[in-house]
Amino acid sequence: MNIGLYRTVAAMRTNQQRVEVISSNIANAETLGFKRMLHVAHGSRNWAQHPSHEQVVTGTTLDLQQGILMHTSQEFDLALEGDGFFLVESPDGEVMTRRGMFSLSAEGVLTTTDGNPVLWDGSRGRIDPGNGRVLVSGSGEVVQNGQAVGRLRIVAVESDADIEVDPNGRYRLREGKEYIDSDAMVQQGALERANVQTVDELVELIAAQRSFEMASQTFRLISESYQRLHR
Amino acid sequence: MIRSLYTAASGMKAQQLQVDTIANNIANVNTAGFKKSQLSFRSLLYQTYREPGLPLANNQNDVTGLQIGSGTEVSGSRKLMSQGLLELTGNTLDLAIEGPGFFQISLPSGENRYTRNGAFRQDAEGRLVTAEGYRLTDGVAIPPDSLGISISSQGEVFSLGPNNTLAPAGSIRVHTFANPTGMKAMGGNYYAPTAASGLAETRLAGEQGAGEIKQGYLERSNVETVDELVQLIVAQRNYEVNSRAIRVSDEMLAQVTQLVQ
Repeated sequence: MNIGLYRTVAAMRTNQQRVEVISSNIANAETLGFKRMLHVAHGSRNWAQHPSHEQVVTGTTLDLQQGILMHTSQEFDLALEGDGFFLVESPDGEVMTRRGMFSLSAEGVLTTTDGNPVLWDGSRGRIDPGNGRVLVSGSGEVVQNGQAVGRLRIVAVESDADIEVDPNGRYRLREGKEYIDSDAMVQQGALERANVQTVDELVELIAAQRSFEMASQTFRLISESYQRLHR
Repeated sequence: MIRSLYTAASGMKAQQLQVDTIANNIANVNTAGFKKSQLSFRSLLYQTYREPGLPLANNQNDVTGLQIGSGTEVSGSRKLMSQGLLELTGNTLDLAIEGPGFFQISLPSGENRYTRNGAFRQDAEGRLVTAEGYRLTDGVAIPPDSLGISISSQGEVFSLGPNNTLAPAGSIRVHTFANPTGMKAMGGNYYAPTAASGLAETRLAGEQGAGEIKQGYLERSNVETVDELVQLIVAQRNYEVNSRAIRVSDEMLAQVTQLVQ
């Protein structure tokens, strides 16, 4: 059988995946703190020795580029500028997030929208709900009424590959990796938007569609030439 | 292939809800004491086809892994409790709170509700009530022979008697919450406390972080029409892009079916 037939199928499959990844990015264009996924495809090593349909290897990586900050003027909306994450204690372990839409519980604990407590450097800082405005400095120091409350834990990772995306789209540190210090600046009263540029995604989408189309046209050409051969 | 159809559809649904929220904000641009809502989204389940670093079928290690998300969903909405502009009305019973806090209203059922709409009036017994006739819980009652009402920024109510003497007629308290964005909007500009907002703390106006009371002012809605319009345009464009993704997926499907003829 013609090896090209399998190759066109591999190309179609790759571009189908590309469309799926792009669709997910586009759907999350308004998700705060969302980081887009990149679809990567490359030829496999020693490709001539492998079955044709396994000659393309596809994968996804996170694009951690900074998203645009949106000003909200809310006291507990915190955005990060630069590489880094807030740490959050979820029921199933620590997660990293750049979605700084926090709120204060009645007990004075800073929590995420899911109700999970935000982690602090050292012991958890307690903010008195009825005791005036809270100021958060660029380095994450929290001050209320001139009194230091503590410092928020902000971490970075050595490489983007150290981050694991769990099924719920939350970021976790891969096993065996460690956090490093972050030089990100905290902006109070702002939130980070998704780093999805819909125009770029649209271009990618069309490119993927055309590649898919070309592959399917090629498939048809090959299959038609077989038909002619058999006549 | 079918996956991206659903992914993009989830994006369209989310944008539709976003437009609904913006429309409600814009509709309430002239509602006294109205607080705008904001939707927030989160990404839906990620499917992991291959863990990073696992060997592939052809005996090579791959560092990237393959994970594909399946769209977005609304994770929740919140009321932005920022201060609205204070508008001078000159009505003695128009009250605005400058700073955090709410007026406490008692429903006929006995439940308490909270509002920042301070357009009060008097009922037959001289008590302060809202436009709907719900009573202010502070039990302020103005004597029938009163010639005028004066309310201090601390919420002390004085009534001007027939012989030009000021007599105290009770005081209006401000009620604060640990997390006012967590309150539940009940319609009619009333809010109810929830587990997320915490319980109401009764405060003297202007103390312990509570706002001051301004007589003769009403708090306008904190909706900025321009901001909402910009958001509306963004939502519409996102809707369009998502629908484009659906079309592309559909066209690709059509090509596949053409192959099998």
